Amino acid sequence: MYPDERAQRSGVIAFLCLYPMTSMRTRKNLFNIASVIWFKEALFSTVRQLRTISLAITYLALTVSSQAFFAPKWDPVDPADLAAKDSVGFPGTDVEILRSTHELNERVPEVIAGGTAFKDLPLVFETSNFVRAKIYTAKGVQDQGKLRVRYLSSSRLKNTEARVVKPDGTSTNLKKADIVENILTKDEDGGSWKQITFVFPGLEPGDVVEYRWIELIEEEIWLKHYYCQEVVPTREYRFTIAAMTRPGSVGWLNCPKATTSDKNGFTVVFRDQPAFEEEEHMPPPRELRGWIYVAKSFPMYSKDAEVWELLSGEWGDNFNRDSKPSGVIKKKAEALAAGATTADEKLRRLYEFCQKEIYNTTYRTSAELQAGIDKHKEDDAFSPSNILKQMRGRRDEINLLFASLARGLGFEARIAHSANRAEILNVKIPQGWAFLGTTSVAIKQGENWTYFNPGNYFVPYGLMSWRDEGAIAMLCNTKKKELSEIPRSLADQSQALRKARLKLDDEGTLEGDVEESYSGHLSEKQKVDAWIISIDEVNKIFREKVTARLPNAEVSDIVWTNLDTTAVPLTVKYHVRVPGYAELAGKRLIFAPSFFQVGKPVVFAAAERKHPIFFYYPWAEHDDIEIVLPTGYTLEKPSAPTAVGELAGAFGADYKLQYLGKTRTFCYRRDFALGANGACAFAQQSYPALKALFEQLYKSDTHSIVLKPKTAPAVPAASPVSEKPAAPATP
Amino acid sequence: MNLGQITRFVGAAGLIIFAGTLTAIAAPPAWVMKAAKADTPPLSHGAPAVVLFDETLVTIESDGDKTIRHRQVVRILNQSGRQFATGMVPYLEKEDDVTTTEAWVVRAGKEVSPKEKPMWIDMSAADDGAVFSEVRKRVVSYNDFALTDDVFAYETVSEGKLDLPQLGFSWVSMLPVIQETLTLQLPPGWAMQSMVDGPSASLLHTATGPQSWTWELIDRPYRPDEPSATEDARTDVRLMVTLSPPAKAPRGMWPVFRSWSDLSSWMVVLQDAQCDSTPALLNTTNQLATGNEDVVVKMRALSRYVQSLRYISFDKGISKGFGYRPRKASEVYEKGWGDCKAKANLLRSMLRTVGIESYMVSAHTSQGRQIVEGWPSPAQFNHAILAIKIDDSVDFPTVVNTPILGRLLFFDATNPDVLLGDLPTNLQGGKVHVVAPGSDALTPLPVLPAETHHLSNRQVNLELNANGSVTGECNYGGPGSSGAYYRRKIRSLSANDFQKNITERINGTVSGASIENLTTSDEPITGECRIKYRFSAPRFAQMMPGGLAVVRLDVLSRDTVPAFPAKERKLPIQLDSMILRDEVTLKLPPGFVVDELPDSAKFNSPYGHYESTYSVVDGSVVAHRMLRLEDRDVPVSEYAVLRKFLGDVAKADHSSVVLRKSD
Repeated sequence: MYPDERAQRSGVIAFLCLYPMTSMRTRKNLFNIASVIWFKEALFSTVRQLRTISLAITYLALTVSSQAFFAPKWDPVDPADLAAKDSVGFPGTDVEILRSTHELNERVPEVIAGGTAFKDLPLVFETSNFVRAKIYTAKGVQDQGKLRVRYLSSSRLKNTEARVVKPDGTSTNLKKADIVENILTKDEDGGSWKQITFVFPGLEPGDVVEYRWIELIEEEIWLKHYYCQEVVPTREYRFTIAAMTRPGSVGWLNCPKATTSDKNGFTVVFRDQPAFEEEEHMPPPRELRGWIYVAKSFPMYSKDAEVWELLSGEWGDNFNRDSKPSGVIKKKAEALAAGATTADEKLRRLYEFCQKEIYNTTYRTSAELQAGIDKHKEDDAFSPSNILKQMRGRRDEINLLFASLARGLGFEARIAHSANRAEILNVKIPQGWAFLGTTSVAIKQGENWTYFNPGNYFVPYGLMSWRDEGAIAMLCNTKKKELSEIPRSLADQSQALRKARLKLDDEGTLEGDVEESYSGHLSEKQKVDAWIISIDEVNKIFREKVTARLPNAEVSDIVWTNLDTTAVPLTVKYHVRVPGYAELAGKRLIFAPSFFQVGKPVVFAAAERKHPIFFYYPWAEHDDIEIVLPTGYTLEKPSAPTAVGELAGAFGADYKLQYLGKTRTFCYRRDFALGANGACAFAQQSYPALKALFEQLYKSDTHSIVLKPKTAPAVPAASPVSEKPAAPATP
Repeated sequence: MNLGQITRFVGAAGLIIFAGTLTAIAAPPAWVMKAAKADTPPLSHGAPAVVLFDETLVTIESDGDKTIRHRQVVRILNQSGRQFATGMVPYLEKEDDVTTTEAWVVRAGKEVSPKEKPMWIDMSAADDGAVFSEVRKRVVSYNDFALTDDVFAYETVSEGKLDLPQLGFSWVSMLPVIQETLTLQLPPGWAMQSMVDGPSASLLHTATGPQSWTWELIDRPYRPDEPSATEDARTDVRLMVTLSPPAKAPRGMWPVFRSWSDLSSWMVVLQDAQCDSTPALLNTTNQLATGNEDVVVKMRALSRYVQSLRYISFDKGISKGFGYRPRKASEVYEKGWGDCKAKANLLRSMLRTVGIESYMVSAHTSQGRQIVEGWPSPAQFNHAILAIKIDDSVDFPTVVNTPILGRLLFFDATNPDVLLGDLPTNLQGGKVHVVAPGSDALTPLPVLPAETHHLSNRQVNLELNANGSVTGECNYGGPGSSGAYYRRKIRSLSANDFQKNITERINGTVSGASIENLTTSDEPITGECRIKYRFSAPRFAQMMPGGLAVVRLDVLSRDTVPAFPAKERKLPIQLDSMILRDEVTLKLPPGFVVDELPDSAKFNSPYGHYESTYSVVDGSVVAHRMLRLEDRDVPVSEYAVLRKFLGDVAKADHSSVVLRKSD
């Protein structure tokens, strides 16, 4: 009874634990590894501080940690920490992790160590974890009052212990009832997610909490990643590799102030790490947050560089074999390219054929096809000839067909493996091969490689998905590891063209017809969001998007074009009525003509910035608005908004205003671009300048026009703005 | 039927289900195929899916065993409807057995299934505030497989003991429903009494047979999400059943509650023994109360202490009635955490120590106004608060004079932001049951006056510079629900995040604003919680050619005013009481005078009042604005009236003034 207080209680539950970001079972098929890791949510990183250390702790029988590490007694807490009222290193924080210690071991199960050698039995992977945190405030009590450790049923937890230490040094060990185990989910095969919760008794500001546990997993370490930077500041994070069954490597990124030791295995310590905070428009968190990884070498390839080359060769060979054009393919390619005079035109025809004519079963299904699609889902790709024959295929199969057709015309083609940029930007780290989960087709044109992904249903010719462009791709071949950056798109390739024909009445109500067209990434994003929902829901979401900035807007007669097709632009037309759009200031009417910008939240309000600023792609906006003004009113000293930045540069907006007196039509043109010069990532130091630009943009976008009642019979020509653009206002 | 509905269905303690052998059913049974043949009715227009058939059969055996069989057939009408190809059954761990879980997809009259049939996943139903809950559920999803025009069906059977001899069932649905039935089968010798309420109660068909009763509702419309809908907006009918076993009731069954005093007697036994104390608890209580002879001061100190403890629930022993039994006060004190009943009980113990008597109170967090007087049942509640017995010297708006227990001060010990003398908005106006010997009726909680409990006062002083830049000071807050709102924001954010939040908010209207001297104040007696800061921005006024300047005075966001842009409405609206008073003063830069001010405005409607005035006082523009909304449930038929009022407010609610350089 009485559990229904979520609204009041949905506070943050911190996970101050060693929380593996990937988990990978032992795999004999080396070539599955990358994708397995990828889909289990892989790594991240910018190589800022990367260090690879050879672990020479080969098959060290592990006796180090369990008993010693989890001795019954707790280490004494420094009296200065017990007495502290605030953090010395991070003043004002609610909680500070004083010590976070984690030790990894991989060993043969004891029964084997005892003398029976069964080669195929799994190894035991063990982590021993200890966290000590100081609570400074009541919010800290709420946040840290219960801490959760989640684990799979294939794991086993032991030695779960915790205590609370009061400022006077007295301590209370958590009883069994204070450490609660719960099964979160369980499937019919018995697999489950479990959770233990440490519920600290009598917790108050000033207390120190400590907790520790050992997790045992029957698996062999191949590659593991852990966050070592928490959402609260950490004074000391200590990570130890005590034993591994084969040599490997450990590395870390985004963690300054590291010290290492090779005593009893390998230990790295990070000190005084601030809390990790997310900010708007930043690179993927994993590029910035401290993390650590551990990798073990494969039996046949002891160095990461060898793995890169191995994968490159294997993937390249497979692709070359699978995409080899047959006679049918060559014939089809020639038919498709007939009459095309340039390489680009030939490739476009192949691309559009593959994307538009081949039924893409990754995105689409039907009652008739579903059984076949379902059956084939996990199978190896059909051959290009087969795909051509069936005229349908999965995303990877469509790419394969495209490559085969291109090869049929004599183009050189390779498979390109890259990482999803929403997860990781830079894969140039030793284990970067593990994140190359996205594939595309690279075609050589002259000396350059051009990238294609016709299997992505919503990306038009000449563009890659925003998740792919700018990514580092491995152009797979047997000769050598070859990395290349997938070219970024231009701002003009992702445009919003918006047109509004509106009428303003003397009560301030704005009403009329609107058309918005989107291309490139702006189109792709909306199509991807829409393709799994109904048109009713698309319209509902669209209405909500409009009313989020114009709360009284009535949106009706919504019509979409190209929402669920490959064609661009994506267009939406609708009718809108906004009561109270213009303000009645006495006898005057005041309104902001920038209909598409009014009510949008300001970007970059925060005074300070910690992380770089990052936009995934450049884009441009062109707004064309005409507003018929109410009779009996005339413009009063109109001015144009101030232009911002440079339209052809990294950031810019231009405005043009015009008044057509005969029709009482106020014309407003706004052009905006971010990254027109290709720059859409900025250093943290650029924040003040960028923030100022966005503030000026906001000001210009909300620039108002004043109408006053005509005092004499209407003479449109007397309007202060003639049929010419208005001069910019005084800044 | 969702989890909440089923939870209510079996009663508070008598939640459901199982674990156990699953019965394999090879092909869709006849009832699935029959329902799948039904045409899609016009009432489904615009809906993502339609429920063709929903049937619940509850069978009670003479030994108190209970079986619940639930069948549902849904047709997917469009891409969004695929999410409704989902089956679910809740149950109580170790008390119930789920003996059947089956699901099918029928396409063009034939069963189809994916290569790998989705598994039924067993999941904890514990929410974030719980560390453990016996309430679990099994869920299956064919979302990725079912297509438009497919029919998805599932059947679950759960078995367990009937704990509470009462059943509640609601016909409530967002999707259109062609047919939904409930059948109750009782063993010989058992009797039952039922009652219904709800807007469609008269449409509920009833059929009876030997020891069997069936209730059925047909052709219910699609009711999509709409903002500010009332809690029971999608409830058509509620059925409340009280069972009467033979003289010798099955072992373990709870008593039959024929009156509220019956329920009181049972809950008093369950709860009173938990109101204990220990020397440590006594000591803390006395320390908190020491030096304060004033009873209100004592109560305030103790109540804040209890509210500050962590909210954590641990739901175990539900079938034994422990869902209504708090943990011992001494244990909650020692651990420093508890759920609503635990906190209320701890406060009760502490008050008792200082000589103040109090009673546990059963309440509902969102549907208190729908509690049915004629059905004494613990299943109608989901929350616990406290009623403190006070004399005439104590006066708060939250005091209710009750016929049997006298003057009672109601207090929610759980919500850490709502102080003594106040009640959370969602509880106000709700009916509660005071758990005390002889307590034989429900008590309506008061709806607190807007002037003192739903008032937000906001002051902004702006000083405009001749170049259009501005400095200013914002000071806003209020008592009651406003105070609780700001208190929660201050409490739940770190100092850094709070500063960020305030900066973002002011930048929503004043771009480039930077803030300084951010302070907060919290007055424990009046409940007034306020936020104050100074800000400056380089560009504020729009300077125009010819010496004119336009200044918008709505520096503080106006997003507190609800907007209903949709022309049509399907669900009634819950309007919360509020008064918003703004005062903005704009000091003009030297050399500027006011050229024109907005017109003053005044509107009245049954749902609220709006007033705005603008004046020039000592070289400053002073704007006053007041919006009052009444605590009302607005029926769909009145939507146009409310919409017109708020539309008029939107049109008049302007704040731009025009200045000009004086000659």
